[in-house]
Amino acid sequence: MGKAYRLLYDENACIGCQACSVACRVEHGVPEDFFRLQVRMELKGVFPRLGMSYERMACVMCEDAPCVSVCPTFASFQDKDGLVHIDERVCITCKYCILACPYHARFINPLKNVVEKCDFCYESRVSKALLPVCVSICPTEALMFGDMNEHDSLVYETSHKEALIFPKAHLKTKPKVAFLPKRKGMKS
Amino acid sequence: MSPIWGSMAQYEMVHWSWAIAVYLFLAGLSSGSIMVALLVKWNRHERSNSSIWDAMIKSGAVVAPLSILLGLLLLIVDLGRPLSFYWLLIRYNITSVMSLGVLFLLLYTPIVIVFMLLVFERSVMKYTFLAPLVALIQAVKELHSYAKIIEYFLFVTALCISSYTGFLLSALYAIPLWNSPILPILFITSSISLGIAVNILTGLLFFQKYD
Repeated sequence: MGKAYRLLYDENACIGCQACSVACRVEHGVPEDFFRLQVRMELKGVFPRLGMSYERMACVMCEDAPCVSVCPTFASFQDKDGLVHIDERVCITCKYCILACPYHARFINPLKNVVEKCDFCYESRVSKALLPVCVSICPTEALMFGDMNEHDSLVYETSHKEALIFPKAHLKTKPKVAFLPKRKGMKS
Repeated sequence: MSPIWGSMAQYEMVHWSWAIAVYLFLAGLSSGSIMVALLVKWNRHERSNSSIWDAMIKSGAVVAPLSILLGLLLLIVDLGRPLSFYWLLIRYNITSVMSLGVLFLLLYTPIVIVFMLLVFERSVMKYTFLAPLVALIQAVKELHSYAKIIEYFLFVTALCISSYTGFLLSALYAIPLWNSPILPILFITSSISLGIAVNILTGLLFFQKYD
């Protein structure tokens, strides 16, 4: 049976330290001023009900991925577990996928001149049964990663305990990344 | 200054440059002018060489191939890796509007050139500097009996070209304004109106005979 990977991002636990973003840069050698992953912060609400809101900007690994369906050369493809990867050999950098992605997850790596994005650290870590680097570095355990087919996994238990929000769910892309929304603090 | 999470430049970049904008215009121009020229040829052509209708057909037969060839060049120029463009011709993903576009262009471009040669057959024979084209003309002449079928086929592919550019943009989620089914209709309408305008203009400027 294939894996049903899921990554959960707990907005209640995140402190916006950017450790995940830095670890991602180191792991994948992302060029300066380009990002596979950003955690954006914003102060929201009206005094005294103020709070920080956090937003994780990275590939959400759609099941019905717009980037895969628009790619003319199958350079963007899904593997057997449904993870979206980029075959750099056949990518002609037509940039259609960048414009098709509703999550703004893709960019052109200026060193290689091909399109790049978060791949859940598949080659270097997940395929070797390690956690993605952002998950393993997170100091507050705001990120959880695992297989939804394993019923004793942390992501399975958390998914069935908490109310999850899937980013831009109305587009019906069925992301593998879900958010645990902020419970207290501000009212946006 | 960048915010704490880093530069936002990659999120604000314009990914499709002016080249694509010009290509979309040229594709609309090419398909529109050939569609109008064909409609005129089928409905209003009265075997007289001096009417504006004849000038419109000639205009369409020149404008369409020239603009689509220039457009194809721009398409390749805009690729991040222009020399790898051959992958577009090897691998076809039929769910991708861009791949469908490549298929339409592969059908459309040769036929539109054949149409031009059929229309300008006599002029090509007249000028000596066009001598290398004569062999091609002879080959095309063999197709004379199929002219009507070629014209119908050309019209259908031209319609595909003018609408696929609209579908191409309406598949984009990153720009919600474009993510709309109205876009292909808008593209077809504007390409036909552009075709009428350009055929009248270049027809009057270059192909009108005053006698």
